[in-house]
Amino acid sequence: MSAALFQLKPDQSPQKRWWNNQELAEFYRVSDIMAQAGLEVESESGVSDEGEPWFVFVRSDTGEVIAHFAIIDGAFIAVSSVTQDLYRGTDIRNLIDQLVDRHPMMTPPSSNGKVVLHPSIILTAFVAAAFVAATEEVRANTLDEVLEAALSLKNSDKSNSTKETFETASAEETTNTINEDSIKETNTEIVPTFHDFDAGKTFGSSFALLGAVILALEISSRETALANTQQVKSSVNFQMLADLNIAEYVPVPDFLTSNNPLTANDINFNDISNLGNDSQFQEPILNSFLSLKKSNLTLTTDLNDLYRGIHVSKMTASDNIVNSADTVSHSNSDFMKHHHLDDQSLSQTAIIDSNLFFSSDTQQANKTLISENSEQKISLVAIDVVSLVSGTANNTPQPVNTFPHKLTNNISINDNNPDFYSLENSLITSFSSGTINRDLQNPIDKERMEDKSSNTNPIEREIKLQSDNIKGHIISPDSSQSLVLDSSIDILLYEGGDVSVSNFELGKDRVWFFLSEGKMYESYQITDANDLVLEFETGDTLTLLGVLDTEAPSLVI
Amino acid sequence: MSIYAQSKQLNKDDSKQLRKEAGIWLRSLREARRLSQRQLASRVDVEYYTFISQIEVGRGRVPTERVEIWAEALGEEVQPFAKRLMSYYDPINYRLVFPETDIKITDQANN
Repeated sequence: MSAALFQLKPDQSPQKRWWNNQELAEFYRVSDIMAQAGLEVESESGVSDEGEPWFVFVRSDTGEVIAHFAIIDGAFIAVSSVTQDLYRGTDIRNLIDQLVDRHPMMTPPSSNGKVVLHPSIILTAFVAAAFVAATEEVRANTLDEVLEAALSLKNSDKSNSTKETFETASAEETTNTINEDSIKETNTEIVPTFHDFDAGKTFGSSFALLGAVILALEISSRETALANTQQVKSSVNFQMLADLNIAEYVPVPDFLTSNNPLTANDINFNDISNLGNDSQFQEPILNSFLSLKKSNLTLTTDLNDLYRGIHVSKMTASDNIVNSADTVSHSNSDFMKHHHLDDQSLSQTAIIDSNLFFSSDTQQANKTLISENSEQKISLVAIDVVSLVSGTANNTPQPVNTFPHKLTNNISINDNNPDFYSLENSLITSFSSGTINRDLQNPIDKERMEDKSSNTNPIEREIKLQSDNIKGHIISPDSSQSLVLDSSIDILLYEGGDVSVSNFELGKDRVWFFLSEGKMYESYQITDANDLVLEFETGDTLTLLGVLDTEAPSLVI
Repeated sequence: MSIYAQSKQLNKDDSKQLRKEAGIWLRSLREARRLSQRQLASRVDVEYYTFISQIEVGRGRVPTERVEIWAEALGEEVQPFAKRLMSYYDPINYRLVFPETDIKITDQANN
């Protein structure tokens, strides 16, 4: 590091100033977003002996400073306190650009090619990554190192595939990646290195920071959805919507069937509005549908009733709805090339709401690994499927995020289309929601928590990070058949097997799928016990017990 | 157990108070040397001098691996400097390592 950086002609330094209201608003918004995501941070500001302001985010649980912002000699500074990565811009916008340039995964792609970013979103991604990085396991790792480790492929030629992007990857990580080849041959070609439990630090850091990034992506997705929906509403292909025989795909709302297809004439763009508030990142929906949604949801607490006759679904994407993807490239590296598939490409069911309600609920990053004999493309995808189930979680009228009609998965892309990467090789799906009620003061919740220690049949491998906030569970065919989650933010990394999961909390816990071709998600069922049973091509099932139970206090979303 | 894990065991308010006292002490050392925060930052090789201000108000801590350079920058002997910092930042281990030291940490800053 050089201390000369800020010794820049003091006589020409800009006039000292305090944070302006907009900047402070950005900071406090970051705190709000973090809190919603379950990452509690405190903040503190001060002024240097030269009168220049600083602002820090502090982990509430440890008191550790995780991110430092300052205005020094007129430059806007952001520092990850753990990694000491420093960013400097002329203003907050310029700083954001630098963050994006250096970590393009933080950028929420846009279905219309226009990325609409609120500065606080990128700042949140930055702080969120710093938050999770502030554990012993991940200490001293840079974001790039972590992402490199997380996304490395076994049997890959890293010198060819990642040199350009991840020049900072450590030799240790490389060794760890290579040494795990024998762990699981079935996924040798396609599965990231999450199996590497001998490399605890590598795994922990990868898991934590990847989680943070995806968390940020999820957050940014919601935020971007607001702006993008406002922008791209005129570009929605309503004819495509009308042509769909959406009754073949479930779940679909009763009022929107093949006999009553949605047409452009039904849409009054003036009705599109943000019914939520900014702090909750609620997606805009059509006002005209609001009453229908309310009536459906408030009168129905039984999901089976809501989806009468269509309990089982199988979704595939047809070629004609594979939209020409917008590719936002922020760098020349393969991995950093952003490739956002319009939601239309995900599933026909999703088309309806994706374009009209959730214009950007899917985030994807691709990486191409080139070796001598082959070229592999993998993708990391974060998909928000909260609307599948959130509607049953609260009987009170809640106009947004209460429309259980979407399950996106098993993405099938036309491999002949050079514009698309195959998503079948690697899929991360995230269950998430907007507002999270994590109040464990409820006696039922407390009882649940107390019971866990006694009846938990430990899953084969469990990664518990220092923070106590995020806990990873690897679920594989060799794992135990049951798993009881606790109050942590539990992230299930599902690789296969028949597993039942208790206490999965919508909006807080997440499921990521690491599945290879032939093992992909196939369908789901909702049982009478309000279990969500995800079925896979292998016949394996992942059951989230009682996750749709409207009586469960933990499901208040 | 790591210092971070131990720090979690401390009462949060106590830990915060100790860091504030550490900051006051560090500030007094800097001012005694007639160093500005920017100058001290230069000496301890920190790019953003506002970090010094942050430390001096008790937010964050002098990184363990930087204690020696901080001591030198402030003209202090390394071991006593590190020992006293330890009493602020890691009081549990401090008492284990220096059981003979009967000091009331909260009074140190006023000494």
